[in-house]
Amino acid sequence: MVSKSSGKKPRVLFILAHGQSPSVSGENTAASSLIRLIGGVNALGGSGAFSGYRPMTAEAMAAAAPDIILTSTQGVEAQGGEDKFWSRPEMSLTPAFKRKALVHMDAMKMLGFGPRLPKAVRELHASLMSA
Amino acid sequence: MSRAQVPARVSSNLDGPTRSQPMAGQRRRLSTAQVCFWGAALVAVAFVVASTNGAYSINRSQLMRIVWDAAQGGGNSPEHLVFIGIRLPRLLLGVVAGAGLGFAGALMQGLFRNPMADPGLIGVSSGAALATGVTIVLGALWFPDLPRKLGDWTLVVMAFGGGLAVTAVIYGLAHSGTGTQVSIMLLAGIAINALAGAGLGFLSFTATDEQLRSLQFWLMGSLGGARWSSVGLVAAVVAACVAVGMVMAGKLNAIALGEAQASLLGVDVEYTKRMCVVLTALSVGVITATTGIIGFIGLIAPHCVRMLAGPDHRVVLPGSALLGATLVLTADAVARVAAKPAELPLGVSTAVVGVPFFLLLLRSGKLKT
Repeated sequence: MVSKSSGKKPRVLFILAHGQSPSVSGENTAASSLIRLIGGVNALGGSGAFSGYRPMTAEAMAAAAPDIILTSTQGVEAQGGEDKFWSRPEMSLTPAFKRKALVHMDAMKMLGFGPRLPKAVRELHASLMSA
Repeated sequence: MSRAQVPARVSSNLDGPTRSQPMAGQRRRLSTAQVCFWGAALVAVAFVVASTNGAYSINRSQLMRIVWDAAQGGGNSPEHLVFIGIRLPRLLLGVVAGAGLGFAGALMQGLFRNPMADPGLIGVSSGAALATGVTIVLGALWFPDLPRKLGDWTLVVMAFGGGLAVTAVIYGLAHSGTGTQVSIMLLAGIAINALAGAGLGFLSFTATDEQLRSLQFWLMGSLGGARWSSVGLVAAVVAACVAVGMVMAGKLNAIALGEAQASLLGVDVEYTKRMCVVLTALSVGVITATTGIIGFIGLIAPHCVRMLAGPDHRVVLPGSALLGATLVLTADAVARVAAKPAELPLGVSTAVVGVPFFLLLLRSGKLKT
């Protein structure tokens, strides 16, 4: 609801791979472009941002203060579902945690930038606004 | 038998691989107490430095406040939550993992009487890596329900099981009616490690980009998975292994003379071998399962201690544990800070921190024969 009430774009953090330290998207990535397309801002964008996907420390994730977490459905499944996903300590320190704002979609549909892109953007925008 | 004297030169064995390192009996060596004191001091310094560095800035006065609050059972500032929930378990995991790896490395070099031996040799790491690869790449296909039951622990359980299984295979290959042949264990270890590497290569070949990334970073190690629960588990296992392993010190000193000689001294060589393998498999297995592969520490920590304090295992074993803890703590601090907010793979920073330290010691003249 952040986005609607304040008119500010929500800060979105994209998690690519859920290892010991999750890989997240910096600038110049498909995920970063997608976040812009669906009406958010990359929580790791702006000054001091890195390019590409990098593993990020848990405390940096708390410092990035994302409003919404975006990831692939496969990733959430590999974690054991949404509840298990939120049980990670770095997640519990983000603003997203308070509203359990997690948006996920099939990895290829989301990042493939193929013919399904408009559909993916529309769906993600809708879930972003309601998350 | 724990009083078995260590000769000034143990490298004169002709049967099998021997420690190539020259043992100059004349040079002044640090005593056990000195090694333990300075080792513990190093760990303490590394711990304090590491606790004030990180992506989330916490300065020294804030740290004091956090410690004060925590001692009184309270505190809920963001710094407090970040430190207690994220940074502290990570530091502690670094301490126990480093200690376990260093200790296991000393056990392995003592058992194999070979300076190249490290805990990976008996297949714990490669087995864990293979099992992790299978879980990441084929997990969704073969056992999709597993993460729902185990959550975060899925990879830990699988990797631990894989490490133990491969170690059992290598031990079984070296075992026969007449006992365990260490030289066969060494070669079988290298062969099985190569096979596991091939399996891992094939899994990488079939993996998707996302899976490949997870696998690749796992292989380079990270303390990022530190939770209080995992720290507790690793600490308990490592502490138990260190306690039991210290009893092996005297026996390993005797084995340094050669297995036949050790057996004449009354050492149960077969039992010692089995214990060393089991202790290494358990401690390194649980460490690797939680952190991924942290190479190199088990190899260099015992060497450094031997250079400073001589080859007596009663010094080398605890000294390697303390030095291993220091090295991993320091390397992880570098990993967390050097590229923040991103994280360097721990495998990169252990080499960057460990190699210069090791080479410096090699060249410092301590080694002159």
